[in-house]
Amino acid sequence: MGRVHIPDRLLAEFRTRSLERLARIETNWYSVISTREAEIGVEIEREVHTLKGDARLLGFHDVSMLCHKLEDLLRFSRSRGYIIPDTLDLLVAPLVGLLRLLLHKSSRQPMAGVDLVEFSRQVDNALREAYLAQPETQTSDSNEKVSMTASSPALTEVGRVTGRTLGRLARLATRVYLQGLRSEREADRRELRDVWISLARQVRQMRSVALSQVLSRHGGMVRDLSSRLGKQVVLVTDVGDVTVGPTIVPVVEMVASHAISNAVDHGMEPPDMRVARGKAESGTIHLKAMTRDDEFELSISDDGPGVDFEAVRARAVEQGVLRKEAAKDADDATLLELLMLPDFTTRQRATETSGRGVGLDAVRTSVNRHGGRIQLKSTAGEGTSIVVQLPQERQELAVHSFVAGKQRFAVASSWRIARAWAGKPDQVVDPLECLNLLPDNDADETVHEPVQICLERDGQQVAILATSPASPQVAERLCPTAEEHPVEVVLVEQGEAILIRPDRLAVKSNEPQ
Amino acid sequence: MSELQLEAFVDEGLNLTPAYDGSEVTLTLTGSATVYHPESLRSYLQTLHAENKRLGVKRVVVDLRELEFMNSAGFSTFIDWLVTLQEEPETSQYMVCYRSNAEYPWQRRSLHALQCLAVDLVTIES
Repeated sequence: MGRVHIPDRLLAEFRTRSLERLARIETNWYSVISTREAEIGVEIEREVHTLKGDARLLGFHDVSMLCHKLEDLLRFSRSRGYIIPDTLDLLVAPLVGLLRLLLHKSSRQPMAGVDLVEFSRQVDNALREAYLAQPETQTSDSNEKVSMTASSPALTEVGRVTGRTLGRLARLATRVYLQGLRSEREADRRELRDVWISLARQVRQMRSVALSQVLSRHGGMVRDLSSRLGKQVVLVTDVGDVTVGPTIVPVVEMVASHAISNAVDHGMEPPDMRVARGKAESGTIHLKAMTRDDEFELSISDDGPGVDFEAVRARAVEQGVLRKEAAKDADDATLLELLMLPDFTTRQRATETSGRGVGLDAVRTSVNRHGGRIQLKSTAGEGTSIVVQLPQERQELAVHSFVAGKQRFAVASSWRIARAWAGKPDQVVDPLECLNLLPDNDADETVHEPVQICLERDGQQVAILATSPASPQVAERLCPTAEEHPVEVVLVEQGEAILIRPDRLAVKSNEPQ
Repeated sequence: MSELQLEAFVDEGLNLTPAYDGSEVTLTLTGSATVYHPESLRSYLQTLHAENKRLGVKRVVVDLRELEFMNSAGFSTFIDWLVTLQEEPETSQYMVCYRSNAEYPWQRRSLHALQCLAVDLVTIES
């Protein structure tokens, strides 16, 4: 099979990003070895996992293979609470060094003078010896589930806040909410609900990542690119304390990387040309972010020459995108739209930094996929800006929703509605009773015929007592608790509902919530 | 004969003493190093590399026989030096010979791993 052509721009970006990632991996490794803080280890695993995936995608198979070895080593280290033999610890530096060498080289062919096979064998041998010397023992962290998904709360630490801490806070918030429901006095109910709202908001904020942190590496990227291209460019960042959800982070990184490399490469004149045009010798890229309601806006603007609209017209005709007459009549907005089409560029030749128009198209696709919008603006002689609006992350979950008493409940749709009930009576769960939400005096309550909702999952059956049949809905998770916890509060059709985990609720029904 | 313009390095339990005999440089390491701030050691080795190039040195001996221990942060600076050397054009490259001590097990595997980065440039003597 022939090798797929990867644009130079993507390769350059991959290298830059991966080398920065490696630097973080290395720094974090020394940190985790001395502090034994599991969260740092989890962060390293996330970075290595991402690097491995990117490398595989772009055909850097040696890099991918070495990442796999590093993952083996990290897994062992985690399972031993980061107390590992020196021989293993000392393999990390050469491993990172090898990765760096492989990333630096221009060809994706094997590198002369590097013995990857022997190195892999050494890692395997060292691990085998370590496993024999240190059979697995239970450490404080070895019970913790580690998921390699970007949205895992365990991987979204801010400062030193861990997934476990967030889980604990979410459980507390849920307890406060339930206590509010149990309160007899309206004032108490209102107050406890307010506390729950504050706590849930706090948890959401703590799960988010500061945009300043996400964009911190781009200053270095601008310096590197501009120095390579003989330009002078300054990046001015104004993102305040804006935060984004963890699943949005890769989109923001992609937008910023593409926009900045485009701005430096295409959108900025060399110093002498800028001076001749009456501009400051150094160009400026402004990166701004702000939040508005449930979305945030990121804008990246440069003070370069702006888009050459005549060149866009000519290229559109040349590429058959527009007829001559249509191109003549096309306004600026239409022409800017063309720049976001696949394979459309005004440049005759791709550069190492920027490829053949793949960037903006890919950026738009990614932004749209996350429910966002992207807009390109340009004024001749004054510069170009890319504005992206992205909705803040929402964690949604497909559920079966139903009512018991006056309370709305939900169960994740991973539980299927069973056609026939084959369970025992003690597998019937009354959520109101389990959660101690039965009203003391039901004299005023409207009597409803009880409904039994039968659910099954993984061969397990549970029946839930309700007062309405279940209907499929999408719930928004406001303050997610861990899978082991029996309940959490979600939003269903704009109203709060208690998400129950029937298997856990049955187990925990005798415990205080 | 040009002089090697590099002083000894003493920091974080580590001593590095360079010597130049007109044809090769010998760097002798002693102590037991748990390096927490590898930047100064990294910078020292990069200076050594620049000096090797300036002097046209063809062989550098790194004598580890009296080095009881070095942690991964310290070891990484030697890897960085080797990566720099590996990326030089062939005309600026030189051989690096590590003299190791079999009594210190940490040296065996780490040096063999290091050698895998540049099998044509690194030799190990024990």
